[in-house]
Amino acid sequence: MRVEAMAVKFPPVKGHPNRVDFEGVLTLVDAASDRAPAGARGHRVVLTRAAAEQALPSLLGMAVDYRPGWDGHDAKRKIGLITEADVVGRRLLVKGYLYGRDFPEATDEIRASAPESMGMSYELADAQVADMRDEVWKLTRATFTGAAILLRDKAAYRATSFRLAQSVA
Amino acid sequence: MDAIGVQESKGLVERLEAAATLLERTLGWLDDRQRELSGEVERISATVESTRREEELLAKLQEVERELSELRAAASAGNEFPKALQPLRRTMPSSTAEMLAKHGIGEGAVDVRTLDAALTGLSLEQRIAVKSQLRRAGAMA
Repeated sequence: MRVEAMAVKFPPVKGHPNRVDFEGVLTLVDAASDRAPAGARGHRVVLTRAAAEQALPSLLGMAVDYRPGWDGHDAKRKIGLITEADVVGRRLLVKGYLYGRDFPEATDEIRASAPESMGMSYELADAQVADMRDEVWKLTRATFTGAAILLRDKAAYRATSFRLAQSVA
Repeated sequence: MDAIGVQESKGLVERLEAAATLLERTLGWLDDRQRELSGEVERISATVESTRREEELLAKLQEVERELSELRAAASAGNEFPKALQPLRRTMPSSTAEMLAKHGIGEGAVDVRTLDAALTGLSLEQRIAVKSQLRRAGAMA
């Protein structure tokens, strides 16, 4: 079921050497994380659909970053941009591009990785938790400040994914 | 004001200052508590925050996986008695080893029928005990 979609339109540039299209599942909505995210004080979290939809505009134009070893976030290593976000069923899908020419090693590593091995992780600011005493925190409001590409088993949600498009935008 | 009055006033001022400090601390603690209960979280990243315990367990798991791969490699190489099992063998009591040796059972995998034949003179409990020892020593499946 398609619920909400948002996109920033960039003029297409055929054969742009520094744009490598990607798409991924950033997170799940209305589903508890498989493990406790960083900053959640050991609690697993649920990002509600309403909160995710409300926060979609904040996701556009935010960067994707990575950490060598692909095991977490490094906001100082921004290697791409999110241009589209969409809640489809329980998945929050994102699209955008990596700066393939600026970060050739990282792009090559992603290409060389097993198709199922890479995932994504969101970065939230000013999250509102319905009840801090709940075992699983219910996030009712948040602002996306970025995302990371990382190994799927390092993501709090195992069902995330990340893949590069075959062709250059 | 006489000397006693001055002394009393100083004591009172000191007590008031101490009380004010305590009040300030309590207000700070209440602020922190209120912030905690308000449900506002400044930053969350959906990446796993690995604890020290998890890292320890991961290191142990890697060690066990390494030993397992060594054992598999030794087994596939036809080595009857992998090196990693040798310390286990030494856990078998010498009396048991001697008793088995008398019946021709020594190093290497133990044949169950040979073992049963060797243990016929023992009571049920003793047979179970010997088999348990052999299992612990890794000489019997």
